[in-house]
Amino acid sequence: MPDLLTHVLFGISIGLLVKKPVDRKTTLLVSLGSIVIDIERPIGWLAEFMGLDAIGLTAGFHSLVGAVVLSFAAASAFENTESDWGLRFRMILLGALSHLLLDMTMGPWEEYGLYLFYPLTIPFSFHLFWSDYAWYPVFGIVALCVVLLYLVITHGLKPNLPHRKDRGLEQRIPQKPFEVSQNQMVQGYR
Amino acid sequence: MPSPIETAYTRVEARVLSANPSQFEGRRVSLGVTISRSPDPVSGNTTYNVEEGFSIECSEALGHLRVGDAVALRGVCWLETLGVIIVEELHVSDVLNPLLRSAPGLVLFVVMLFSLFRLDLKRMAFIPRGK
Repeated sequence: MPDLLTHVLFGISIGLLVKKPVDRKTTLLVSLGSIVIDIERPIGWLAEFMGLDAIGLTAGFHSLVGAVVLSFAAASAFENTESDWGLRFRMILLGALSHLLLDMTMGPWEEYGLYLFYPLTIPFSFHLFWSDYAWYPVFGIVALCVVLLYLVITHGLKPNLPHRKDRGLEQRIPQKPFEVSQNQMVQGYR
Repeated sequence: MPSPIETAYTRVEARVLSANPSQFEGRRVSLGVTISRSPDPVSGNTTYNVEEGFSIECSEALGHLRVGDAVALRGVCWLETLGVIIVEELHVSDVLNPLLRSAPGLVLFVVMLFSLFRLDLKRMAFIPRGK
């Protein structure tokens, strides 16, 4: 796997693009999806510590079925009173698919790749870099910069008004700050 | 689209190979191992023990491996006949570096998560902040 930093940066970049205006929750959900597949690492370490055989764990999690199952589990980890479960699941799944796509850049040798249709062991990969390739985080930073630049060009540097509303900030902002009644002016003068 | 490519090498888990070497005898295999014993460098071929319980033989041209090196290798399996895998090609992975680089990613994600949600232990669910 490329490191988690690269996955999170790509997840944030995609999250910033999928919803307009930019929504922090959506960005978070996509970035959650972009790292949830690598939960096989701590599970694998735990299994190894307990003396269990973890063969197939990595392949199973890094597959299309694994992405769907893990996205389902991750979407269920949030409060379920809201009716946006489907949207949450889709955003996490989008992040998970971006993870698989990024992982498919790994493995320069032809026999390397992700078993997307596991348990069928047919490797899919672009065969570009080894997993320890030092430039992966730079790719993530570049992707995020490109997306931010795109957002600035297309939307400008506007404040995120819906978010301010959520926090109740608009109530503190006077609607017409310079409109003063004639009576108030007279009182102020006195 | 990425597509499966036919290759002369069979990808195999080292533990599977170790448990069942006869199945892969004489075949070209591709696997990952960790070096457990490294003899002093000598001219010609060097035999290394690996943590997975067998030995690999590398030519001088492939370089010298150290104990703890995580190695992806391609070679011919002669574990039953010669007791070694004769390595043809290898890549020494820097295991520590990706893990170290993962730490800031994890921190970034956790900060984002807990700036928007809090964990309700009673319901074992993340609840939006401000609720």
